Formats: sequence, C-alpha cells, structure tokens
Amino acid sequence: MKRSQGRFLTTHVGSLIRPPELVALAKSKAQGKAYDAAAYEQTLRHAVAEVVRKQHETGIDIVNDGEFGKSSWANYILERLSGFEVRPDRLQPLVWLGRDRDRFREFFEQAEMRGVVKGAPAEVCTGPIRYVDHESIRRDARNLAAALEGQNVAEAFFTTVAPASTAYNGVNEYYATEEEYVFAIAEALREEYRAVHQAGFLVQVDDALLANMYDHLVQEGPESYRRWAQLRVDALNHALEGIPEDRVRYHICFGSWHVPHVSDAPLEAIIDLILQVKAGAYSIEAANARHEHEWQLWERTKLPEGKILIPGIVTHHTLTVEHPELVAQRIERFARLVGPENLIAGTDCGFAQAAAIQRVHPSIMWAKLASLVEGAQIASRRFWK
Amino acid sequence: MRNSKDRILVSHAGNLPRPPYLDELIESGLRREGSHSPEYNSRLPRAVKEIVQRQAELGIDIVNDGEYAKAGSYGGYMQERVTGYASVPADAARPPKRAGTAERDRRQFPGFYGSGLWFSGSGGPIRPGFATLTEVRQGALRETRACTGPVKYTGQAAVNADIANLKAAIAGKDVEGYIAALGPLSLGAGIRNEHYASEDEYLMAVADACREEYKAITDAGFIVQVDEPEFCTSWMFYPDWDVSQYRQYLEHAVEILNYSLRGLPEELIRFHTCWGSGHRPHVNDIELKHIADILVKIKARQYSIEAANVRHDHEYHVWEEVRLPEGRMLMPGVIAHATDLVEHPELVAERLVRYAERVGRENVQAGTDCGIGSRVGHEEVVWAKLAAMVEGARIASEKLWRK
Repeated sequence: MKRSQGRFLTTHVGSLIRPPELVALAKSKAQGKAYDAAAYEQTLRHAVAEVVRKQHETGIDIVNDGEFGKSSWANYILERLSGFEVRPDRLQPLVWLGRDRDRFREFFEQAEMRGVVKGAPAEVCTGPIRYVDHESIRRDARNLAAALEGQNVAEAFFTTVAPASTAYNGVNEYYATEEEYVFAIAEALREEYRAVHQAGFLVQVDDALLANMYDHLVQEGPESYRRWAQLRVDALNHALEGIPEDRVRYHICFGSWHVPHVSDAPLEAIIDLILQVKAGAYSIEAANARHEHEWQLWERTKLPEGKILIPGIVTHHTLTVEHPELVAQRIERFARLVGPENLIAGTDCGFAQAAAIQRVHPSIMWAKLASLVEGAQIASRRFWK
Repeated sequence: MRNSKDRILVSHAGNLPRPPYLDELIESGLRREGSHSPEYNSRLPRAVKEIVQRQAELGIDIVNDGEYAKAGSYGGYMQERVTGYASVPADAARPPKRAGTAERDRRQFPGFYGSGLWFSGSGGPIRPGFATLTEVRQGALRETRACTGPVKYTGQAAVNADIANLKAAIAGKDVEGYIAALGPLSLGAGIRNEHYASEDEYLMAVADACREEYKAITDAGFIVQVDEPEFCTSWMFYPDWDVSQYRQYLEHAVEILNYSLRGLPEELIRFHTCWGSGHRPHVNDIELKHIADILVKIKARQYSIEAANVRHDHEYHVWEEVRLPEGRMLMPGVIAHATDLVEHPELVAERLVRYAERVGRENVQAGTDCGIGSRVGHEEVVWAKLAAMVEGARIASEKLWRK
C-alpha cells in the first residue's frame, strides 16, 4: 500500500455518481425488465474508463471504478450469493437508524427516508450461503484494469462489503446459530476479497453497519452491541485470512443519509473494534458536523505501528464545497497526531451509495475532490518543506 | 449589550420556525400577503411569547421574536415599511442594474444551477426542498422594482408592534432581546434609482429610512441586528470586479452604513453579514481575509458572521491578522444550516475556543451562520442544533474559565 511520503496522498471512499446512460440501463436490469445486455456491458466499460480518467485528471492518487458495476454499496452482494430471498411482505424495522427515528419522527416522515422508515423488506436466509456469481467480480476487475492502462495513478482500490453489513435487513432461518450464519457469510465473502486481491487491487471492505448498529443495541444493554460486533469483526478477520494486511483498507462510516445523526455511535466507543480488523488502513468519516471533533480521539488513541489512517476530509453531507484551506487544516490536525506518513486524505463516504442515488450534484462532487487535492497540496508544502 | 463576562453567551442570527397557526395564514411562507391581515397580527403576541419562552428555556441568552412579523422574508418585509418603490415592467432591452444571486458560482456550475437543486435542502434529488423552481414567483421575471419617488420610512406602527410584542414576551426573563432590521445596501443597492439625482443621494435616502427603524428599536432598549448580507454577497453581483475594486465598493458601503447608524448607541448595534444562505457550492465567495479590515470599521458593538460551514470554517485565522477593535465583539456562526447533521457540542466548543483564543473569551458569543428557521430539513433539526449550540457554549466556557 502506497504511503504519503513527501506529500499527502489522496483517495476517496468508493461510490461516484454514475452517468445517466448507465443509471438507465442499470435500472432496467435491477427491475428485471428486458434490457440490452451487450449495451449495458459496453456502457459500463466506457463509464469505468472515463471515471478513472477523471479521477486521475482531478489529481486523486488512489482511484477505483466508482463502484459502477454494482447496484449498491452493500446489497449488490445478495445478487452474487445464494441462500437469501427477499420478502416484500415482511418488513424489518430500520434499527440501524438508532433513536434518531424517535428523536426526529416528523423529520423522517418527510425526509429522504420517507417510505422506508416503516421498514425494509427482509432478506431472509433460507439455504446455504455460497458465492455463486464469479463472473461479475471478474468483469469489474477487468474493467478497472483496462481503465488503469496508461493512467499514471499511484494505486487502485476496489470496494467490497463486510460480513456485518451483508444483508443488513437480514433474518437467518437456515443456520442453527448466529455464529454459523455470520461465518457462512464470511466464507462466501472471502472469495470476493481474494478475487480482488488477486487482480492486484487494494481490497476495501465497507462496514457502515458496525457503527450503525451501536445505538440500537446498546439500548438492550452494554454487552449486547459488543457481542454482536465482536462476532462480526472475528468473521471479517477470518474472511481476510491469507491476504496481507498491507493490501486491505477497512471503511467505517455512520451512514450517508442526510439526517441529524444525533444517535450516531461515538467513535471512541467502537475504535478498539475497528483497530482489531486486520487491515493496513482505516477509512473513517470525520468531515461533517457530527464527527469532525473526533480528530481529538487520536490524542488518546495510538494508531498502531505501520497502519494508515484515511479520515474523511471532504463530505457528501453539504452542497457547499470545502475550502482548500479547511482541507489543509483538517489534514494537519490529523497528521500532527498520527504522523504525516501515516495519513491519506479521503472522503467521508461515497457519493452514490446505490445506482440512482446522488448525494450531491455531480459537478459539486468533482469540485469537492478537486478541493481535496488542492488542500492536500497546501498541507504537503507545510509538512515537507 | 452584555459581554461574555464569565461564560460564552449564546444567541442566533434570526429566523426561527413558525407555529402552524401562523404558517396556515401564509402558506408556510409562500404567500406573505397573509401576514398583513389583522388575523395574523392578532396571533403574533402569543407566537412571540411562545418562541421567546422556548429560546429562554433552551438557554439562549439573547433572544428575538423569531422574525415572525417578517413572515419568512428577512428583506422583503421592508418593502412594506418604506415609500418610494414601485413595480415596473421588466425591460428586456435594458440591462439589469447588476448580476444576480451567486453569479460567479453560476458561471462555474451551470449544470447544478440548471437543475434547480439549489432551491432545495441539503440533500440529493430525492430530498424535498423548501422551494422548487416552479414555486419561485414567476412575477419576478415580468416585473422589476424601481425607486420612483422619495424613500421614506412609514413602518413606525409596524416596528412599534414588533417592539411591544417582544417587550411583553421578555418581561421577567433574564435575557436580552434583539430585533433584526434590514441594512441599507440590502434594501436599496439592487434596485434601480429613477428618482434621485445620483446613486449616492439615493442610497443616503435609503440609509435615512433604515435609520428610523434602527432608532425605534434602540430607543426601546433592544439590540438592533442590522442584516446586511450584501456586505459579502455584492461580490457576486459584480462578477467581473477584482478584490481591489470590491474593497473600494465596501469602503463606500461602510460610509453609507455608518451614516445609517449615526447617533445611535453603538452599545445596542449588532451587524450581521453572511455569504447567502442558499445550499450551493459557494466556491467563489469573497474571502473574509480580503474584507475583514473594512468590516470592523462599521460602528457596531458586535459582528455576527458566518463561520460554521465548510467554505468559511477555516477563517478564524483571519483574526490573527486583523485586530478586532477594542470594545467590539464577534458572534461567529458555530452551527450551520448548510447541513441537516446536528453539530456535535464538542465541535461547537472547539470552534468557540478557537475564536476566544484569538479575540478574547469575553468578546465571543455563540451564533448561527444565518437565520436557520427555514433552511434545514425540519424544525426538529433547528431545535436540536440550537440545543447543541447551548451545550457547546457550556463546554467551551468550562474550558475557557477553568481555574
């Protein structure tokens, strides 16, 4: 994994806004309507090439495919696994929103979560969980490799989902115990992690749920969350066996939805779990009004030797574009505490968690990434002069 | 005006959520005409009493009337309190007096502005906004305002009612009261003068009219908050100016402003400016470092200025270069309407401490970026943010006054 040496490297969390022609084809595909498969594959390939070129042109050092080959950041995996069926008539309460649902009841009824606050269709596990679609990941790896040709970028990463975040509205009706269920997911995910690693990309494992489940579970008692989370961190480490830590990034966020986030987990309460994950880099949200102050945690918590921190330095949570000076200030706050060579500047979360989602207008997304690059240059001059 | 003698005092920049019994008369702000009715005015005393009570209970030290009498328009209300203006047909052949809102940003983000998203809240396309393109009054495209006669203040009865409502609501509470009033630039500078011999003569008449309102408020013993976003946003209206041209404009603007404040007790004057509350990129906002030395020439006891969003959060360093004159106070925004996420109280405290370290703890009060009432996703979010500000000020005070 490339480190910041002589200057701060920049990256982002993964999902970028897809071009409209790809969104249209992906929508037909997702709805099971007739669609032109060849046109989809070709549009996807071109879109990946273009988004890699654009990241490079913007000055982003560690790039990806924008997650263009996936329907969404987490649930895409259900299209690649056996063992799950979605039951629209069985609604699972969205416990991962925590007590914000009660604290801001009216807000949720009118906000973007409207229609889903009452629950989401359960993803029920009714059979053995296996990784069955090997072709999609091969195709995505091929598209990214082709897009990288001729682009002089530092490195490429590829996002995958963690066991905790797999089927996050899931119900196990098949395995005898929760442990068996979670480890069966991990066994299946391992195939994807390895495919990404073997393709030569950094494996980024996305795990919003590790943080999102905190508020709900601690209401049941202090040990309830720890037990739930520890099992899933263990399962993730099991799935990552055989992949060098240095090739793995672990991403944690508190949910990309534009809501108050008053019930978010304090980073302090979960950081020990995060640091247990056998990854070389930790990508953690830090550029928004609810989590910006948490840079101070690194005054008390030591980033383990050899690890890299990728804090969110720009956010999808506001349409206003971060001033490059603010970007530099944020980078400096972290770098003074963890060491400049252990810091890479990132984003809070993706900008398009599912094909049709746009957290900001695309022109604003690119302006934010440009600001990230410019701010990193300002901070680099101050640290390495 | 109290200073933060032994703890950081808390206020905000104006607009607060209206109760349903006011909103129903003005279609939630879309039909401001409803606020001229006797019914609306008869409901105001109760509404002001409730909103003052709520602010006091929350721990806000300097409270206001929620700007309820202004019915959601910090500037538009003033058109009803002055003479001299008329609507005239828009003349396509005649270029506008100046460019429009956010012009420099519009040139850089045509796709974003074309999408209409900037009329909405903080989120993506599935996020409902508070206004959409279709809700923007079409009349504005066919008509334009012009100054066609002497500008005189005629709002004495209206401002006296504002004062009486706030006075009654505050009675017996250990809080200070303030009332927002429009600044002369924001009232007049955008409107073409067809009456006075010169632009200068026109703007001085505007300043005189504004002064009447300020004086009524300070005579009553309340703090007047002069709302003058145009101190910062005029940079957008003249998109081809460079910084030195803009500074020249502002130097003159300060003369007009100080003329409008002449003879009034500085002690009771808070000056508020911001870069426009629209949810938009703001990439081309004029930097505070270019204008702060001119800002502090305005004869006010306190400057309330946007500082809690990603475009202006870094600017606390400006106060290392520009000295806040003796006897002046700063009210930086420490919570923003630019995001629906509620600021963590620790972040609020961090921001306040940064300012206190630079201008002195007794000279800092906690404020909001701009009027917050209608700019976030729901009033529940407003109240959570204001509570976070009060809590953050408490944390900051503990740090700053620790033995």
